Amino acid sequence: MRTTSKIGRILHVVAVVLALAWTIFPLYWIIVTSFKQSWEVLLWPPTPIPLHPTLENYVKLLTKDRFYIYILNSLIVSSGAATLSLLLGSLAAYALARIGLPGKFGNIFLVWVLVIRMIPPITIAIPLFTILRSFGLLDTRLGLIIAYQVYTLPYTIWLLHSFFAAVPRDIEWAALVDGATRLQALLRVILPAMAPGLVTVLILSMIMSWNEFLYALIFINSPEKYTVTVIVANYIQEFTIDWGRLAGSGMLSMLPVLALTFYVQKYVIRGLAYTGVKA
Amino acid sequence: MKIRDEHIGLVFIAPALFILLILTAYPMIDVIFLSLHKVDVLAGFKLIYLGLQNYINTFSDDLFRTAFINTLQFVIGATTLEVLLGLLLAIVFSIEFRGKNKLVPLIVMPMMLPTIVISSFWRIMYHTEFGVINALLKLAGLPPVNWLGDVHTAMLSVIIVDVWQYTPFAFLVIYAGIQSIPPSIINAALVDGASLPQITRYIILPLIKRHILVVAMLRIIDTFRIFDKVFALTGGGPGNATEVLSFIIYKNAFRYYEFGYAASQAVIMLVTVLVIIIAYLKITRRGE
Repeated sequence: MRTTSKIGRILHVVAVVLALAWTIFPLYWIIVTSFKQSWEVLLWPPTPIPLHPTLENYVKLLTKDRFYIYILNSLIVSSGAATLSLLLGSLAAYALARIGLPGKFGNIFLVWVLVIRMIPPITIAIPLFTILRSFGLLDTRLGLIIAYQVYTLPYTIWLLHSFFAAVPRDIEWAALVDGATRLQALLRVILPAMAPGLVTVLILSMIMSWNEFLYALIFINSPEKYTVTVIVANYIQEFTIDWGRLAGSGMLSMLPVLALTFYVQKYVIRGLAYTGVKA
Repeated sequence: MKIRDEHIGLVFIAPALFILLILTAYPMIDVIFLSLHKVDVLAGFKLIYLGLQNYINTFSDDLFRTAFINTLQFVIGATTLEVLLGLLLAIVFSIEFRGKNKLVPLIVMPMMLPTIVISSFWRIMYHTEFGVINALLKLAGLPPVNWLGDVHTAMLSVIIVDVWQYTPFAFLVIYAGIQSIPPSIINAALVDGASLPQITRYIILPLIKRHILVVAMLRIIDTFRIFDKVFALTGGGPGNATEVLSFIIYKNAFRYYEFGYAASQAVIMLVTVLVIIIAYLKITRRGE
């Protein structure tokens, strides 16, 4: 579409600029705040550019607060959860998309996967707590990795299901005719053919787990096992909040996500197919 | 006996099925079971049967009623604003301009970031005494607002953060809908001298009704679970102004260790959302 009138063009430019400013401003403000000294954060009126830019907040976070511990925890949990989901999910999605399942089982399973994505996580948190407890997995990173399958496994299955459907059947038939088993066909022919898709799914699951807060809050107790979302929430709960440090911790927590997002940006829309609506 | 493909399929799906049954199907049944009991956490999670007592208590619990109403307020407020703004943004982005494709990922960024982290950003900006939002209000000649501390603005403040984060989601779905309209239809209307508002009203809107409905229902379902934003921004306050269902269930279970009581509230929440989910599935799966 194109605008025709001059007023229309001006309105359009204004709308685009407003949308961008609205999106970017909070991020700009936090970057600025994270480089301010603690007294300057409390200044009225607030300064749009730091008067005396400082790395103080970041130095404090990385030395005294040992923030890298929480980044490492988040990294372990999110990559663990994403990898486990990819292993289980690629087998399941291959069965759903290619091998076939008895009766309506496949359809029912896919609907179930969609329902799980939509139920509020708190509603099953209490039974999950008792399950993890009975396996001795409370307050462990492994327990959190397993609990995150509630989020990442349905997501992985749903996405991979659509990716599998896009791989040409010919290469698979060729392998099967040559005497390969289903598992060999999957591992040697199909998965390599969709490697970029697999990486994308892995990254999207990682971001999902990295961002998760509720289960990390409930299932992890020891501060040395906190993920970044839990420690940031802790900084907010403190009686006198150190605002500069809070801004800095937010920056450190979201930078990995931003970096990964740039890799998967063109797949984000595809990830939306997880709405259950055919794109 | 010949091994059929369907049986191999079952073997392949078994591990994922097993995990999902334990982590999702079993808990949805167990939460109902727990809701009929008092769970003695100190005595090694001993169960004492209570019948429907937890439900009776929940229905006469003022905090639960407040949280339910607040959740509905948040759901309706956030969904309405996000769908309207998302639609507006989708129309703005349907008009060609240079650099458009580079801007879409930027516009979408907020929904990729950790909710707890962006809530902490807004908490800094909302601050009454040194927050930048009040500074901007002052520049515009307006009085300062106690955003998170005032009963009248606290819920609105939480909604605004959700609008910031998830309008891009509504935008993406509706934008995809507009992109799927054949350009020839719109071009024909342009040749006939139709204006942009006319094209929007009589061509685009009727063709993307379904996308709008789908995204609205998805936002209703997803906003229902609100937890992180309330936790980081208000902690349920001031008073009970921003207490929501997820938050009180969390507190009852994991701060006060009333597992059975919290379970009864979780069941009520689950059933409410399941009704919406079933309606959603009916709508989206129609004609398949």
